[in-house]
Amino acid sequence: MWQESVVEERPALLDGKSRAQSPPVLIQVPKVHSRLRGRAGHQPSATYRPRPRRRRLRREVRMALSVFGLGSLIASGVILASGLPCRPLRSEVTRVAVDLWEGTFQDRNASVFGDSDPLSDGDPFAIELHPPVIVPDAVPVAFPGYLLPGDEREDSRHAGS
Amino acid sequence: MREVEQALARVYARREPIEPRTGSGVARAMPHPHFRIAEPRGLAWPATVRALEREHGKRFELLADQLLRLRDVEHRKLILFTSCHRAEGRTTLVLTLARALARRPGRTLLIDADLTGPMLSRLLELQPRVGLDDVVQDDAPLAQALVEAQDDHLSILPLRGPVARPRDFLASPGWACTMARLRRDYDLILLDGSPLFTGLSATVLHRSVDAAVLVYHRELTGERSLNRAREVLEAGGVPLLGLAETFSPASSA
Repeated sequence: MWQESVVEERPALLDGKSRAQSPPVLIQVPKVHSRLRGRAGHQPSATYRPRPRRRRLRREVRMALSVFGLGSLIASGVILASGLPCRPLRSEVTRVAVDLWEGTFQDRNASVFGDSDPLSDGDPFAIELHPPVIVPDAVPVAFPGYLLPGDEREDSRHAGS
Repeated sequence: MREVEQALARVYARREPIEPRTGSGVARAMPHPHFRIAEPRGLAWPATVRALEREHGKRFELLADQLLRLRDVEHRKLILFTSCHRAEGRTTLVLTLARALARRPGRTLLIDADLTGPMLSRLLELQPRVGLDDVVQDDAPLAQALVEAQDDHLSILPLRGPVARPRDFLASPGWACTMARLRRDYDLILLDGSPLFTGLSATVLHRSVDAAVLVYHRELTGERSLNRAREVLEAGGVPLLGLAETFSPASSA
């Protein structure tokens, strides 16, 4: 009785089996697009909201990116292990660069101040040191409880203030 | 196991059937004081089901007629709809078929027997406080779990959530008793069953059914899976009525 309703038998199921043994296809349901899906006021459930399709780059691009990232990681590890960034003066290139920079700095100073060195030369920047003045007949000030060094040079009228 | 179920069915056949209360819209039995049931006004059928009914309703009418003929001739009342994997359109097909059967005389019951991933209550926007799992595991009254949609002339027995141990659930006496009572009270019962191959877990097969229909996605389900599913059903003693193909090309007659 079911053979009456067979719409289309599935050929894959008939491989290696007799036609009588294959189960009949009772119904074929085509895919439909429900019109209500886009209707105003129809809120799809959050539970069954379809996830946005995740885009993937091509396989070759993904392989190239992974190789590039891995190579960068290994190279940075090798550079750090060699200590090159931490000891610049041991590098010949860095030493030459520093020498060049120092020469340039001295040339600039010479162009501004001339041949003289402003820190060691004379008058504009000279600092004079005056010897302390000794006052005769000075009476030391006695503060109760403690005595400061040099109190003997204070005026006697301020004693006890 | 089958002999026990047949004996239970004979015992329950002598008792009074369940008479759920009716009212406007969806009617239910009196709720248990511990389980206050929110009365739904009507079943919210998914738009896909309505579209299928509108565009390909004749196919479902034909299948409904054949199922009723099979019930009358061979007394097969419990029909399991299963598939190899998930997302093959099984529940949508069963819902559309249930609507076609509901327009015919007789009492039709739709059971959510997808123990690992029940979808029926979500698709119909039901929020059952009592489900089939409560009836089988916790001895909750069956009348509380039954949703009688009077306007749709259809009864639905939803699951509240996934069952932790499907094999123990199906082997429990509560399941056998429930099926025996339902077999007595309804003329045709459609079971929206679990997929046969769900990940790495073992096959969950409802052996207490009279026949099975294997739903398969035309493009996704391969020949190997279909043959394996046939073997599983044969090994479980479940006769395979036939295949139901989903996502067919629109030109197929």
